[in-house]
Amino acid sequence: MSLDIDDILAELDRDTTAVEMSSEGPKQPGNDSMDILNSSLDGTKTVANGRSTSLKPKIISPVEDFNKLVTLWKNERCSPELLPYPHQLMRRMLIRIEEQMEHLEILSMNFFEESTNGGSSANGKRNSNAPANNNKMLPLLCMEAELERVKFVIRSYIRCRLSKVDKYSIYLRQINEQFLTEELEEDDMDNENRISPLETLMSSEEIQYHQRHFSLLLNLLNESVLKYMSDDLQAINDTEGSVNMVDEPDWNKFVFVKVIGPPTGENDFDPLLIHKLDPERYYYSITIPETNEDIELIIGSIYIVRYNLIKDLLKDDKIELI
Amino acid sequence: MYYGIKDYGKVYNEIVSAAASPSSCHLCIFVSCLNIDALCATKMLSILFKKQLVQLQIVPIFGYAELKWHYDQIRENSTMNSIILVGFGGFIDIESFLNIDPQEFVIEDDEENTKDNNEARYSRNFYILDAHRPWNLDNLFGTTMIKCLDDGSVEEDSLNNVKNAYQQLLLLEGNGDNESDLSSSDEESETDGEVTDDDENEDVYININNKRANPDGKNEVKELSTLSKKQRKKQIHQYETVLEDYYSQGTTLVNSISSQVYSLLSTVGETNLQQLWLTVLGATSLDTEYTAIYQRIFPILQDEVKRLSPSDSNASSVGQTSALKNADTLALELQPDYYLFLLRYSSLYDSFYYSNYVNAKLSLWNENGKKRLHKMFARMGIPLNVAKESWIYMDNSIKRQLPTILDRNLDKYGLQDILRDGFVKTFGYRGMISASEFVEALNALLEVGQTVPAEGSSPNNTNGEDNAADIEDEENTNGNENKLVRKKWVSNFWLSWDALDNNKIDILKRGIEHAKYLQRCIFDTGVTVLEKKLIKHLRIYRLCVLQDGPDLALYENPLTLLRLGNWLIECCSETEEKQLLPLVLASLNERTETYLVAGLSPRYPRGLDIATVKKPILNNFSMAFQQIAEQTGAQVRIDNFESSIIEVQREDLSPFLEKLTLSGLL
Amino acid sequence: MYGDLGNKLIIEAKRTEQLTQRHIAASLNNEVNHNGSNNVTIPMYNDELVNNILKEVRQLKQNADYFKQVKQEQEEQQLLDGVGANPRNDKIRHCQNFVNLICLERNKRCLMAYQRMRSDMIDKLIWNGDIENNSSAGTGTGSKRYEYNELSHNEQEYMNQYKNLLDDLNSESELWSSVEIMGNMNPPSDIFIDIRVLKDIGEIQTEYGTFNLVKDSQFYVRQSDVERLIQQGYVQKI
Repeated sequence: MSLDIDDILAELDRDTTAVEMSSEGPKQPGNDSMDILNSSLDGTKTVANGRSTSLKPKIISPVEDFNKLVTLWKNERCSPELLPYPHQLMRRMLIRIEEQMEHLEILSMNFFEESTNGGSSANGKRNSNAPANNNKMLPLLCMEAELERVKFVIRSYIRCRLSKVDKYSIYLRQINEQFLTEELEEDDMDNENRISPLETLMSSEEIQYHQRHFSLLLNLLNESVLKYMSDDLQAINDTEGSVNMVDEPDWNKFVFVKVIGPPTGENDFDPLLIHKLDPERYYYSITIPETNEDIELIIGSIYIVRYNLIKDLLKDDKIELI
Repeated sequence: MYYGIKDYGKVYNEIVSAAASPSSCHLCIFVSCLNIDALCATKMLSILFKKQLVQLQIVPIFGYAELKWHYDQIRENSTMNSIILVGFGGFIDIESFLNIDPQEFVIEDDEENTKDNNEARYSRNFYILDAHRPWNLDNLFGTTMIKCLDDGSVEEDSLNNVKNAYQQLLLLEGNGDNESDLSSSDEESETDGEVTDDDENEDVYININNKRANPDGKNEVKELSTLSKKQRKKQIHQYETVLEDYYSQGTTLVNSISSQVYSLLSTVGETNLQQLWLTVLGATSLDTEYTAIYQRIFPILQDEVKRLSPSDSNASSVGQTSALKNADTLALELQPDYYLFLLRYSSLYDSFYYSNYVNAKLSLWNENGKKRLHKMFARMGIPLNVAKESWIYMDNSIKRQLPTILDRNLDKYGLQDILRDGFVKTFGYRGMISASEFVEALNALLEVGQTVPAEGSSPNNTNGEDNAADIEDEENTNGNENKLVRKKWVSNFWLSWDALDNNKIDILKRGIEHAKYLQRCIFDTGVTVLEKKLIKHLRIYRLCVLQDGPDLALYENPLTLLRLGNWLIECCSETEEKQLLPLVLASLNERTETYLVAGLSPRYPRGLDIATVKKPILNNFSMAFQQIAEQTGAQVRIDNFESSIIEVQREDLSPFLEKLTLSGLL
Repeated sequence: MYGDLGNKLIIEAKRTEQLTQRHIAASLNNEVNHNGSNNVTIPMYNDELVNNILKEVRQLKQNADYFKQVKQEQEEQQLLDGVGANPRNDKIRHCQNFVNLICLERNKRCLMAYQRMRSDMIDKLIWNGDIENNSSAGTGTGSKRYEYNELSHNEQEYMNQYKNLLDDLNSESELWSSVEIMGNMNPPSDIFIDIRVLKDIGEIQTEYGTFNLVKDSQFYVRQSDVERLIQQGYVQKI
């Protein structure tokens, strides 16, 4: 799972990889600036000042991307709420997948032709004592298998997200409505820069899916139940008098977390990170409101905590769900 | 054409390189579905080809009619360029049976190749892996599109004589046509022109040449054409007699095809323990009917087991259970084995009681026989109640001493062959099984499938959901019902196939239970047959016709019929007259109003040193059945790949048998 | 009693849910599932019960109207008479109205929960691809098809639209189509697999060749070529 398709490709066929690398190069600066934009949208208010030097284009290798994807995938599957959608990462993944599919296509076409045309003459010349084998096909199959795996991870990731979109359909709408009303109240101060929370949270496909599925569902409920109700009972969610009908993420769900911390060597640039000398350790501090108890989340350790205590750390990539 | 064992590597390379494509399926294996040796051989081939990532299709086939149907399914599929027939196909002329025109598949060679060899190359090749003999000569010496994987019998048996006759005959016949053409055209030419005639002659030449695949043909033809008509007729007759003799010598099995595949594996260096175990099973499955083959292969397998087993177990000498055993041990060992019925899975007593061998030697079917058995146990010092305990829980000290006890006592009863070396496989902590026990289980799975039939019901009702669906689709006419039963046998093939996997022990255990059930059934039927003296002693063969009985439906399956047949013929070989007579066993199928008839060749009593002393007895029934069917015009279906098993309409049976008695063909 | 029918509906829904779960668990345990895919089946839409509940709703609505009317009349009367409200009568009326309202609300919830459960199941069916082979109904062999009869009219409408929604998104989104979002949710293992044909299908076309899928034959082929057939239960992965 830890192997990336491009890795294998690099070993097999240096020429094509070189082409890929060069095509990757020019794209990079654009990507990165978008990344920064993206992270500031996430509400990560703290890109440390000391790190301003790192603003220069940073090359993100396919391996890093894949690892990141797997982390996101795991986080998504373990967290009760829908996590923000990694727009840039997914865009890069898509490009890579398509390139790789094309590449494989060409390779296997070549192979196909070789085996149908060249087969006869090769056959005639081959020393009949040496057993035949199809080892030539093996690298191709490895690449194919690896591609299938990447596709699977993305598929599973998206499907997981969609199931949450369905589950919290109404809740997500409420977030949006809330935002829209706030926007109205706040006039047009910095309206242009404001992006609806759903747009950072979900991909355009997911937003579409959410809206259309919700309206279908609403329609179904209307036709088969609600229209028979008296006027005051026709809303899908009546909160008065009884329990809330909207499913909200279970913020108090217990989750397993592993504390990651900032990239190695940058411990000092992370303002949230607390450094203690005796015994020497780096940790994040969180407080359990009910008991007013502080917990040290030491880097590299694993904890079981309620989700709402760590959700901010999760969104800052300081921890991973496992 | 044919390949000897040393050429197997070439065949393999041909198949693999023809099938080397990452994206489509080029290889199809047709396998005889009621044949364990073929089952094992196919499994071995599939493992081998899988390792080379060759995509393939495997189709189990019941009989010739099905073969035709299945071939039609892939006939037009141009990507299928290799077809392997496993366990059948040697008898019939594949080319004409499947209506194949080799010309369609000829590859236009580039010059380079045509210079090298004169063999035409085809875009589709048939490989026949079949140990039934005699070979069909059209397959052996005809087109190079059909490739017979021979085990050396073609060379050994010096078929040169036959080959010569075959080729000469082709030549003469072709020439005959040619001549008549010539003569007629001579007449014509007197009236008409000469130009067209030459063209015709050319055509004929080409045809002959291709059929014979003989580069020197042209000259000979010219030579021969000068012979007088009379001489030619005499020669034709002479050669025809040679061929007739060849075909009518009787049929037999000469080898285990699994071991042939194993030879292939050795050539390409792909042998391993898993494959060896499959070979052992394939060879062991022939032990009952073709003991000589098993005895011939045994030492070779023995050496292979020693060679491939991990070296530390080499230290512990043969006969001792390896002390090191863990949950994952899948070792294959040589151990003293007992030629008894499922000893490790029943009790000592039962395994004696239900063994064909013991049965025949002691005549267990009558009271005296039983007394003899009890007396024998007494003599061996094993109390009956101990002997009747399940083998697993039986007194360990007796188990340990058993080889010595048996060795000391069995001679008196002519049962000395019970004790012999055999192959035993260990499934970690889950148990051990000997090759012969495994074969019993596989056989039973092929016969009855998932579940044994409930009392009195016909076997096609038993396959639960699977068949229910089929029945809905099809009308309940006889023909279709027959088809259903056959379909079920085909599905049973896969059940046995799965049982060969190391992790599917549950299926294997089920097979063992089925085997016990079936053995009890044939024992009961056999005892009835013998008690009621249902075996008629005709002049040249013994006849037994089953028309009723509780288990009649079971014998619709040829394998079960043969199981009974083997039991009976083994008993017969020990009877007082000691006369070696073949047996015809017929069983009525009430639904289809037909008899399933099996002809079994006689057997030497066990215990004689068969391999060295005597020539194998050939089975003459295939030829006889065919000829008599033609002569009487009886409604007979000859569909089974075992050509000595046929189906006869109910009312046609007695005239058919009458003719058989008088024919002198046996 | 009011609300009883709603209860029945909920119990039915619960049972359906449990059955499906057990079904899935069973098919997970016994990997060699005969049909290849873990078919979800929807039970019949309980028309009768739903209608009865709706009847009850109508009754409750009438009651509510009546209470409202009575209240209005009384209030008018009181206004006319200039008499203060009779606290006892008021309380009784209030209670009646409240119970009525709660029953109404409960029925609504039951119906909605039932409907939501079913719509979720429909979603699942579509994602599993069980519905898909239905659109080509009539052709091919007598495979176990998903019958539309179990769905109410509204549900069928919903199902079609939801399927359209997915088809639209699938064709619009490059990402979704290139990762085959509707594809198999089992992690990929081998490129080549053994499959056994459970039903006669005949010839199928793949990218570079054809297969003839005859019942009871076994193939060693590229998984991606037969993915669809496995899902539809025509072939079984060994």
